[in-house]
Amino acid sequence: MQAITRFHSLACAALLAWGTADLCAQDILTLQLQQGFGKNKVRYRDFQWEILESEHIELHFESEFQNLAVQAIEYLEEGYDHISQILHHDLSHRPPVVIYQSHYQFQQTNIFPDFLPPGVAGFAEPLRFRMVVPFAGDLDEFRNVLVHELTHIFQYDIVHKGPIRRITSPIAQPPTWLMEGMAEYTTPGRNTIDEMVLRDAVLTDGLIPLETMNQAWGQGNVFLAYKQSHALMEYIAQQYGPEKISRILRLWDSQHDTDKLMDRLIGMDLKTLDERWSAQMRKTYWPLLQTRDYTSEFAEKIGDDENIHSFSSACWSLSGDMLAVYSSDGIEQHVDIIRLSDASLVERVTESMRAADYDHLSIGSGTVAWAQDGQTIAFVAKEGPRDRIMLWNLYDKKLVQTLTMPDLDLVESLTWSPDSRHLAFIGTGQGQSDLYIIDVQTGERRQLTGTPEREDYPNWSPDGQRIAFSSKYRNQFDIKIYDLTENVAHAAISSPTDDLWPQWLPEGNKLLFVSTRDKINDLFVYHLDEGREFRLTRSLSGILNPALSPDGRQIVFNTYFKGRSHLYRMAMPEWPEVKRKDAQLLARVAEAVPPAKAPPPVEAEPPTEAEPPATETLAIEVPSVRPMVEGDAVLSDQGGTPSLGQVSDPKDPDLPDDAVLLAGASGLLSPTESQEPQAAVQLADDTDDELELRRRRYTPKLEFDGISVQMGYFDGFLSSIAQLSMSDLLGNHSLVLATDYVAAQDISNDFNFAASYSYYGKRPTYHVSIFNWNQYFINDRNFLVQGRAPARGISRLQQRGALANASYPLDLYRRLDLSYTYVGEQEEQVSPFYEPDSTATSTHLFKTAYVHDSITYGLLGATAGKRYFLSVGRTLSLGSTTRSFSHLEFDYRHYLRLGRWSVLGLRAYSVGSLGRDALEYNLGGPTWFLPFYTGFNLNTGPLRGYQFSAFTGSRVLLTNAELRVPFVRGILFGWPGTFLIPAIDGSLFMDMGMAWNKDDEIDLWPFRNPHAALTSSPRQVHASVGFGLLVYFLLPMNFEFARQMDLQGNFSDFKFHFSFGQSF
Amino acid sequence: MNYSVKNSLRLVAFGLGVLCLHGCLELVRRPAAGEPIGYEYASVADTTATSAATVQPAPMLVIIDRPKRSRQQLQNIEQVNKYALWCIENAMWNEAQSHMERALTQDSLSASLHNNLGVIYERLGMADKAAEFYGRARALNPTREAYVANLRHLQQYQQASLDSTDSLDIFRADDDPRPRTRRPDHSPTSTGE
Repeated sequence: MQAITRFHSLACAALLAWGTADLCAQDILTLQLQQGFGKNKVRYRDFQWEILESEHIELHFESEFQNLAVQAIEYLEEGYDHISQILHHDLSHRPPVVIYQSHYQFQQTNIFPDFLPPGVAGFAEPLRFRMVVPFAGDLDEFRNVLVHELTHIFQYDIVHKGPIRRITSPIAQPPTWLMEGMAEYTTPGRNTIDEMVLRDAVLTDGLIPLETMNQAWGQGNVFLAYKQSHALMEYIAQQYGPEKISRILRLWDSQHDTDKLMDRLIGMDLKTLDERWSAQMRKTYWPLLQTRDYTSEFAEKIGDDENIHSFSSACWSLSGDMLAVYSSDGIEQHVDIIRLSDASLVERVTESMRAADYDHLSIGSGTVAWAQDGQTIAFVAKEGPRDRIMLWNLYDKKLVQTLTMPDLDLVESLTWSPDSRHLAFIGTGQGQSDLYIIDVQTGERRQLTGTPEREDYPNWSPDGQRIAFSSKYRNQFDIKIYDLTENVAHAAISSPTDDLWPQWLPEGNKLLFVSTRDKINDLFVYHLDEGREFRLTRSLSGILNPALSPDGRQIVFNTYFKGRSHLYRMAMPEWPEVKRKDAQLLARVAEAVPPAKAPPPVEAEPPTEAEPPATETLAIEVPSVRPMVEGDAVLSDQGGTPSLGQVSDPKDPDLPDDAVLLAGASGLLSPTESQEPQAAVQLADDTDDELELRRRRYTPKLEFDGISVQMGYFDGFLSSIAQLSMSDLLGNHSLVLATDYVAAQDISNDFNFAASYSYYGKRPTYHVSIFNWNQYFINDRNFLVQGRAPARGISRLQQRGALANASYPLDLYRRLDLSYTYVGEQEEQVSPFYEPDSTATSTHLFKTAYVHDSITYGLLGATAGKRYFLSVGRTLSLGSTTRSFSHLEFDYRHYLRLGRWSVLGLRAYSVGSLGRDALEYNLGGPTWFLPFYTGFNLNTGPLRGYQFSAFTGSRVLLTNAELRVPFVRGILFGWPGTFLIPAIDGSLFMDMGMAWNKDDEIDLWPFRNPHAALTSSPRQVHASVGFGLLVYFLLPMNFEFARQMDLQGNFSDFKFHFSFGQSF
Repeated sequence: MNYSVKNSLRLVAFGLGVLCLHGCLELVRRPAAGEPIGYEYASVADTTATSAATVQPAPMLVIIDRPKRSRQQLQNIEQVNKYALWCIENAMWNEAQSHMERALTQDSLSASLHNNLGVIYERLGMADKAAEFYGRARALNPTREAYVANLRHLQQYQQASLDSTDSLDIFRADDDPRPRTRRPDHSPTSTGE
């Protein structure tokens, strides 16, 4: 909505300059009448901003999460020193940093005008060097994103060299993979998920070629592109020295060709670098094949490769026959019940719920949970400003209850109590995430933990008295158990690596969990009574989101293979078998390592219950020994990522490979140190003094966003528009000033200007404009001037007036628009002599509209959902010189999916301009002939097979049906230059429409015969069919062939249309 | 079309509607007591009904006072039965069984739950358990013909199965798997409390 309004003001100014005689009188009015679609950026609350200033940072925050702000300043100052040392640079100014306490509040930022989808962790923008980051529940992740974005600010400062350069060359910056790779390089080390993605790409030959890496940011596997870029930077730093990283940006100043840049930097071109780095990656990861198993070797895949859905957050039904999952096919997300045997869909829980019951499903971990009575499925969905827990009844097959918690923005990791009355979950609000339980019948909620550190993955014990969960301290997850009777939590499993996803076995004295030993997620079982742990898997891919079946006999889990997530199931071994498995896996590693590195001897014989094997004694002590061969190989080969507070030398043997950062401190802690007894992290009150922070209130101040100058020539007129944009730092206030110069023979320019102000600080948004705009056009009169050849007359249309728009978003998908427009128009002859026109007119137009838009977009148009609007307008008639008409417009579009990418689009459209001064609309041809075609705002296509704007009338009816089928996804061309065409679709379409005026005779049947002469009366319905090729290259382009028809077997020849944009 | 034909058609349509409604309520049309069973060995089973009783004695019929249930309880039973039917339609017998068993822990005196669980056990090959649950259903609600019929039908089926396999034994090698006779297509009933 906001983007539309902004575009609206720009388009308004542009169109004023490009107007032609026939259209000028209607330009501003039709622009105001033209109703836009689009989702809304809803400001659910009024933010009260304050500023904390430190030595290098200006942090914007709200006082209700002050502790988080102080923590953020610490992270940023540490990060500043760290990045500064790597890049050998100090910022020329203090960058403004804006933090939000949750992603949903971050989505309300006005610094970025468009909708920010889930998954965007933060952004930095190069124009005003602002960075915006939300807290997503985990302080370590928060720090990483802050450092990542701060690196971008450094990059902009180096590349753009201050404000002047940034205005003159805002676009010229190194390739994305260099920028992002560098930002990842300065961010604390890779986690096991990062490793998993990179390892999978190496082992399955799925690495993105370096020459096409940039395209991956537009169309490919973005996550892999990030990780690959990171690994490349590490490789360069390791092989050629860390100083090369800072040299990249300096070299970019004189060398914009990446191939030559690399040649100057490290003496090899991109292709050679790619080959050598790939070889290094293979040497790192291929040895893992010796000691690890493919997931398919110990588990069975649920579903086949043809299944386009990816499943996560799996949870079991009562019988174990079915799973409830969060499923996504890349376009739509749902909670589904699938059959365990073949992953076929049994029931779509969230059918037709999006837009009706929630905005979108939450994508966090554990956002689906099936109650242990088998009757209720809980899932998390975002509705309004925060997550809600939705309860769906299996028997009634409907949503029966919604749980809302006003103080919590994010809800994750649901788990049901055994009596199916309580839910435990992780809630994030006011800059902190904690463990909660809620009574679903009464809504009574209880907070169990209260530290700033992250808690996650709770799981209720079979007796209902305890909850096991992962708790982070000093950058590492351990497993704790919360005793609900004594209200106390105690550590259960603690190792130098992350211990995640605890799951109680039915016996109640054992926990299944995932641990990141050797930097790969594997399954373990921990016996609480014996205090021992046993390894269940030695997986190559890694294991995520395990869920134990109700009888404890099966485990489903996610793994990552060939670039996508898969759901697997494996049998949970009986207890003696667990012990044997552990011994076997340990023995296998012992066999694979050289004798010098071998771990302590292991009994080769399968252990028995009567005589526990030596391996059992390892239990929790095993990781501390740490001769886990392949993990070490990985670390030593990679050299590790430098941690904050210290520039790492990859060759420095003293630097621990898996060093972790102490939260709130700048030093490094070794894994052993991080095992010290835990204490709640307190954000010291005196931190302000230590950091010398200054605090003040935020006051809006307008600053320059940019200046744009557009020039053009049209029909004898040279026109140029200069536009100046200003806004405050938070983007709540926006001011646009535009002025225009028009030059033509015998024309003296007047002062043209338009000024518009927009306010986005509250839920309703406002926009006002005033303008005084003169337009010149050649009229149809000829004059003899001083006996010379006839000269064409030139008229000037003067338009002055004001616009006022208000928009109130009801939610993400629906809004109400209201506008008032006043335009005074006067036309006069200005050349070859001045002749005032007495027919001055004015218009007072009031318009309102209701808009619904819940479609999902693809590159070539909508892929699913529906959008519609109803717009009603009326002018205020104050006399004969004021325009008098009413406006009624309705547009309904529905997009039905017919497969993963195929879509059938249906549309019904009608517009009527009624009254004495009714406007005329055009019909015919594609929707957009050219983006800057002056009459586009009056065209109501597409009605293909006919001339552009072939029909006119004050009333239009139009229907369209179009089937779009994917032909190509991602075709890479090597010449000229390397470029990617992301998508080519084929289309079959049928259009029907007619335009008529009030008193026209109408003949609805039969449709007009294409071979009959075109007559203005009676008006007939025009129809066409055709096919087309829709190509996305920078923007959508349509190559369409259509023939007129009358539904009785008569067809015209094919007519070819080329147009830009999405047809509908 | 004359008036009487129209009326006849309306009557037929009404009759079909009633049948459909009845079919919905009574999910399985069981043969009434004494009615021959429509399988090949029906007549044999019919004649061996008495001997079947000797092979597996019918559970002692204990009349239990039918408990009075609240509307909520009845609705719950209805819901579970309905869900079980949905599971069965989707060939998820284990899921149906789990929910029925769970429902019985909360309402152990529901005749329909016992009967329907009996149907599920029978389908899953647990004939003894099925007989036990049919028997319990009959005890809880002796007036319901379907429960009696289910039990009798199971016993007849078992006997028929026994008889036919016995008669085929002489033609079969010892290590051959025994062919399974076709099973009646049983489905659970709705509440019928």
